[in-house]
Amino acid sequence: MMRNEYSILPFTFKRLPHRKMLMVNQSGEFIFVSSNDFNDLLNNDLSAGSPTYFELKGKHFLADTDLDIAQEMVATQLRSRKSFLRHFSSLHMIVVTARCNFICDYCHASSAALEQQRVDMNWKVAKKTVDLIFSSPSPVLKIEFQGGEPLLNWPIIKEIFHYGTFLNRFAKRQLEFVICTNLTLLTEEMIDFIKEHKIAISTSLDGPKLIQDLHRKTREGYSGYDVFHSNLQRLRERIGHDGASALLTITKTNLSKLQEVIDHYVELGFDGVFLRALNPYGFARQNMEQLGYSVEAFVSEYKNILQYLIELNLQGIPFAEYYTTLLLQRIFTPFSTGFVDLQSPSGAAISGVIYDYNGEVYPTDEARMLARTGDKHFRMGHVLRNNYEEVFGGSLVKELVKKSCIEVLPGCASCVYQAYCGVDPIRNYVETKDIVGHRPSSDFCKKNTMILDHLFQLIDENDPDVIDVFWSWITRRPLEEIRHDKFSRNSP
Amino acid sequence: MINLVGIALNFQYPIIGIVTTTPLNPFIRRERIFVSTKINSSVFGYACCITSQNVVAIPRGSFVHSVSQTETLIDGDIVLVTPEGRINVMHRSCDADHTVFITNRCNSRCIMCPQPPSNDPPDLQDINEKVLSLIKAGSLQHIGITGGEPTVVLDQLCQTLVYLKSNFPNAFISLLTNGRRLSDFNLAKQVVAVKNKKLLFCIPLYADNDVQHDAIVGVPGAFADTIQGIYNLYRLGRRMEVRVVVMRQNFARLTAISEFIYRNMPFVAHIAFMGMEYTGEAEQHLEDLWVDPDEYSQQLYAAVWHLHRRGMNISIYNIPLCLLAEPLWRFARDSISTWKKNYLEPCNSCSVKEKCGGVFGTSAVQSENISPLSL
Repeated sequence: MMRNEYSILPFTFKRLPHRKMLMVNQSGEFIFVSSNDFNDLLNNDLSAGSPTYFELKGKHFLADTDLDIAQEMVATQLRSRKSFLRHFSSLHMIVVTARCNFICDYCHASSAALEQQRVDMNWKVAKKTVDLIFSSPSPVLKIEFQGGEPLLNWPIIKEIFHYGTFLNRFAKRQLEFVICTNLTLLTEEMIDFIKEHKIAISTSLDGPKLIQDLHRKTREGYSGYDVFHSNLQRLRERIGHDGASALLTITKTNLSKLQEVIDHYVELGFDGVFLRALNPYGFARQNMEQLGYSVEAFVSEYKNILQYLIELNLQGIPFAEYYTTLLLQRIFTPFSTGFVDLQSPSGAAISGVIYDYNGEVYPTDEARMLARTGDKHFRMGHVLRNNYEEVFGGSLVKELVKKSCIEVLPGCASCVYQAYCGVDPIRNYVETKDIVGHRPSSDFCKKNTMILDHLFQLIDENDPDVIDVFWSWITRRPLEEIRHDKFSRNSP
Repeated sequence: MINLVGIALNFQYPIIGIVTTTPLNPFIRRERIFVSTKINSSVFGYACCITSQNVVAIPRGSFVHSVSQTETLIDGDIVLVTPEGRINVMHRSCDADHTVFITNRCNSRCIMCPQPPSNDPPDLQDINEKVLSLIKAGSLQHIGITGGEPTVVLDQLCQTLVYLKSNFPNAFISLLTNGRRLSDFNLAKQVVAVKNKKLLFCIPLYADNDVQHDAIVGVPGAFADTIQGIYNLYRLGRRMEVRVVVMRQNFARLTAISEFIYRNMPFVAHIAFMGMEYTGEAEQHLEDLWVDPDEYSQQLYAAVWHLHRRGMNISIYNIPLCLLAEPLWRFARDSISTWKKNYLEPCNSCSVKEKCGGVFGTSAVQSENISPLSL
């Protein structure tokens, strides 16, 4: 082997402090190298047999005698990473009503008042919706009931459940049901049904009573928290602990009190939280003044709370942050992680889809909200008037997919985090009237970049305690099972 | 393998049979080899007789006489006796394990090969088939197929797999192969055409790059072949174990090998880190290869933990407990075959001897750091 005779395989990179570089290749393998080694690599001055040469070779950043098999390996890795694309839409959200007994000031769905029966889904639309869902080729079908408050239209939930289950006797898919509810309208009959049919429950929890009741207001003026709390206990007594998960909405109010919020989650027996920044849709857009905060403020709190969570885990309280977990899975593992809001091509329509109460089909909840405000740009079709091919094979969906491949988007194509990030064309359109969007002014881009910067800083620091906690989240195993021994302090 | 030696009498071909130490009814003697200190002329009908006596004047029947240590042969053992007077125990009656040495030939030239390749005796396949036919169907829990490189004799390998599937359907089969020939998808398909559900392909990988791996295997392109072979087996839905043999050439990059395996073949069922057996080629290249397990215990810990964090199944073979960091004990297996396993003088006073897999009695050198533990 002569020196200098190697090919450089595709990668993206970023300069870090202290003359260090982060390099990431197409299949998400990463490496930290010194600026000197980086320059040597590019100038074909890296000597074969040096430690850096072997590191870069083993992770497929360069290849020489092994060029063919190296390409084969990268291709195999890339194929597995993108395998979420194989099955097409598996998440099907159904808005069974736009009515709600709450009027939260950050509501995306801009919910309707209780007496407006005309915003309930009827059986004709519901049946056609289920027929359409079963036209999807996906071996896994997850039907998620949304609103409004879906429990206000309980009869149609049962109808959809029974009809879907009936169709599945022949279709034989892995069929799952979820109800997204504020829990306040839960009756014994509903609990029986949920228990009997193993339906999952997703609820909303913003923190302790004061915080929860501040933004999540009931239309009738009573405290929503108390009812939520007692119903959650009732539900758990019947269906066990894992049957209910909670979503947190972060507003200006609880952003500074996240530690308190986490403590409350722990107290109520949840084992994880998803830290989402507030998105500019629906009521939230009108109320941004009172509710909103800058990306910088969010990320700074995120860093604090991540530190807090790591300490919590190390003290023996298992509690995960799901967004971090998702990113870490992409950074550390070779597996596919489809995640509708952060994938490439975007999950809009091809991974998840939403059916409005009136039968209109949209790629995402945000696209549906946009239609509510008069812009029907993303309307894929109507369950009563269009068949599966027209809804999912139309020019709109083709355009969404074509223009949401991160690998070729301006600003993303050369980004070091490309392999770990994703695309949100709907949000791009809302912000710039163009689904390609404009990265330099995009909060979505800024937030993910800052979070990934932070995670890579932690990875570079390589504190074994922190990395142990990360792996317990990634592999969903108890921390004690993977705790390192003091004996050794290398290897992330 | 236990080998005894004696003087052969009255036969020109190898004989394979089942040991019996008590005289049998003449009608069922054909497959039996009679082992006794008292041999007289009434022993006709046996395939062969083995005795410690000095036998001279018996005109009929095959004999091996003047054999010492005949007491090591137990009823039910399957032995091979050769016209040169060698007695090889091919299968111990008490073992639920059996190993088929399917060939001595190999397409690699590994610098640390414990059994350097050679040509096959013409009757090797017949001998293997005969031995298998004498083992009671269904009595085996585990069968190893090894060589040499089994895929070099592809047809025999496929025949053997078919035979094992019908006669030992419940036995786990480990096929020790370098996987190189399986880089040809059609050949890989032939091997897996026999749908042995319990077949595990055990494939060695010595480095995370071709330069170091090929240098150890002694064949340029071996790394690419093996990786492609692994990919083909995965496409065909087969279970695999990757084996990392630790030596001076690769111990510094053990964690890199772990990461390489996880990134490129996370589908493997099992990963084994293996201590070396310093015999054959390995003994010849001792200077280049030798590294005390004590010296790489930190690298081994890091490499094992790397995969353990990632939820992979890991084992450590052939390294005694006193040379392993204690958190690694849970991964150590009793991996050395009974007839090779040994304990050293200091081991007698060791409190964990019962749990320990010992060392290779066949190795030319032993670690100087083997010392009794008191827990």
